[in-house]
Amino acid sequence: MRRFAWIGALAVATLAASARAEDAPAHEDALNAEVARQGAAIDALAAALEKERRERENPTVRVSGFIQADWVIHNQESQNEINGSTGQPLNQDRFTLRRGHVRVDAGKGLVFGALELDANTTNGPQVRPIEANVSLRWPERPDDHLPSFVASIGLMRIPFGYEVQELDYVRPFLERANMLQALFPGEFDLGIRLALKYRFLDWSIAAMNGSPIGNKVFPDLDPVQAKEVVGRLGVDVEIAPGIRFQAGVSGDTGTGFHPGTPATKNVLVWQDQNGDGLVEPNEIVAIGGTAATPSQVFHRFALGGDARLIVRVAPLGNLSFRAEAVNAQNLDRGLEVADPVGAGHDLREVGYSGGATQELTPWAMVGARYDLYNPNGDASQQRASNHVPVNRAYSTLALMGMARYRQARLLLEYDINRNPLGTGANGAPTTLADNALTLRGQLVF
Amino acid sequence: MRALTALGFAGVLAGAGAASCSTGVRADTGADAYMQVPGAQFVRGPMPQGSASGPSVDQVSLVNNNIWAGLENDPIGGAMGPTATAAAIGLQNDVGYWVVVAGPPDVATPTDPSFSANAVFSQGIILGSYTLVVRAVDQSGSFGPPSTQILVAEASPLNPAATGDLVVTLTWDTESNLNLHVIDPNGTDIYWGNQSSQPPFSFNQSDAGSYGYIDYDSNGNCVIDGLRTEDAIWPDPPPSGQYTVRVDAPSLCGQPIANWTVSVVLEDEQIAQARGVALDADTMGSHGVGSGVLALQFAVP
Repeated sequence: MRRFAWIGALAVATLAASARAEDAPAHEDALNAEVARQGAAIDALAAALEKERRERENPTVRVSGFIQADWVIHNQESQNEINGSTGQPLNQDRFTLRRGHVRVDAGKGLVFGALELDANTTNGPQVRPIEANVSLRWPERPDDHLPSFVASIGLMRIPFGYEVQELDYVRPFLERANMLQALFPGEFDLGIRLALKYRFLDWSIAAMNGSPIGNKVFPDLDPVQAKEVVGRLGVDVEIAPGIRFQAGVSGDTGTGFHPGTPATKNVLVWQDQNGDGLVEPNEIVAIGGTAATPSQVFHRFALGGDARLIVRVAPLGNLSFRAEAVNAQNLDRGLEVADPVGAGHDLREVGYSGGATQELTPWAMVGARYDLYNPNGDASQQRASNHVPVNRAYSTLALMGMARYRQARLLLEYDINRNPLGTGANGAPTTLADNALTLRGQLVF
Repeated sequence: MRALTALGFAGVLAGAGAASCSTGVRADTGADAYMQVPGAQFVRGPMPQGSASGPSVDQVSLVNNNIWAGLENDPIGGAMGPTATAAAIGLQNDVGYWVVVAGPPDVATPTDPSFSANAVFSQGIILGSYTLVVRAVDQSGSFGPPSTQILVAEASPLNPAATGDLVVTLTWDTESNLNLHVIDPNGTDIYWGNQSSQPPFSFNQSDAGSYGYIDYDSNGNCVIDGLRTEDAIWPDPPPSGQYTVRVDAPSLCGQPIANWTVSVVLEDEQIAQARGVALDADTMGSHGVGSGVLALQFAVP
């Protein structure tokens, strides 16, 4: 019996050995593949570690930029004339380099910085620094479980609202809303900024010169000692799958500047009243000298709110709504520069904008935005015997269509502009025709 | 979701629908108008006819009725009917008119809105008679009946026409520095560097003869005077013989071109005229005796 058992066991073992001999090549291949996969993973990890080590030891330098070239196909304001005051041409129908930015980012450990230059031909060829700052970050690597702090000093974006901080090559419309171009001209200012990001929170606060690079008076300078304090408390949250909500409240408080005047001497002025080129006694006017007047400062502020809702609409793409409103006082630095000392009263500025964009596949987008800005809510005009209130509001309805391919865009926008710059037959302010059709080509590199 | 999309876009468009329907005025400097009013709104085209029921112009005040090319700050003012809110001012048959916002009443007319403008008259205005038209406009944009004044465009007292037996005149159209050269039958080049053909004083020299001179070096060294004219004048009968006129361009003073005209008047009769263009290339080289491009030649019997 035991002999039969041995024979049986031997037969089973023989069969099993035979079976193993038949499976051996496949098993070996699988093992080899697994070894190769793990080897590749180890190599990748080693490469990543080596890359991180190099990044720690050597600053990472990255060069990027973008170009926005415009063809203003037609602007109703265009004339084949020059501005008698500035000597600049009044024609707007032209090709122009709106923005050509080159940016260098460098970082090592907790420190990083950026330098961005802008070349454009908006008012003739010019190159200027648009952003230049040094920052300290913590933690060094983004960690979802930790708040992220960034402290920066230099020339940087003003942390107010949504559109001011929206990147130029990301913004779907040609330019920012009128109110933001007026209140925060140029969008960049010199100062220090502290930014916090943690989960859905996105907060920034800065102390700045209060004289942005697009300021009509003293750009990039600071005529007053007091600094502008500006900041935004924002949230960025995915409230449901495919639905993202961003919102924030912003504030700005600072000090504006009214320049004084130097002393003047007594002068005699000849006013050729009858235009005959001859000096006559009644045409000589004595103008008395005046003492110098001191410069004055005034308080200014802005309070704003912004919201953005992004909804994923399959299969088209994102549907995005944006809205922003600002209530300000004496802050206009770009359109009708606010000077309450000269005006004799505070200038109340109100503006809002609302818009929507819809992606039509990854290659196209359409959108519309309406914005309105009133630089002086108490404006009035002497008309005949009456002092009458007038509407000084500027508004734009932008209708946009865009084609996209990889990093390139072709954007066509028609802007319907209203303004108070013309005079109607009845003497009341009316729109000076300024509608514009513009084609923009953009490439990000 | 499509409904949400449509709703969103409709909201944006509807909220701003009025903007697309807006009416306004065209941007136009009116620089080609004979009469210009800095700071006022220019409207191209004829002034509306208006109606008798519209606001009236009660008074138009002018310093004088004589105007000339380049006249500046010529005050035009007056008073209008009580309902007027603006005044439309222009020359009849000009390329357009100007809208001036009505001001508060003057003391002399305490119930009537006033209007005030400082007019400038184009360098290109042609001598002759013009009709100044002023209409009052009310709040609804209704034009009233016209009030007219006759203006007479005459030669500028600042730049009176040169007189003499022989006058060679160079004029040009941009604020450039051009020079007139006239070479008389004796071969003397009369220009800004040699302003007279009269030889230096000498005790042995007879007093006989007629000499020409250059009256002015306009825009010399690009000091812009706005006259843009130079004359070579022979007050007495000029020497007989062949004369050559050249036009030199020392500098265009930043202007792209200068269109020039040379005319020759002999005993009050124009006997020759030439036109040309000075380009930047013409400013190169010497600008002394005999320089410039040939404009014309003429003979004095």
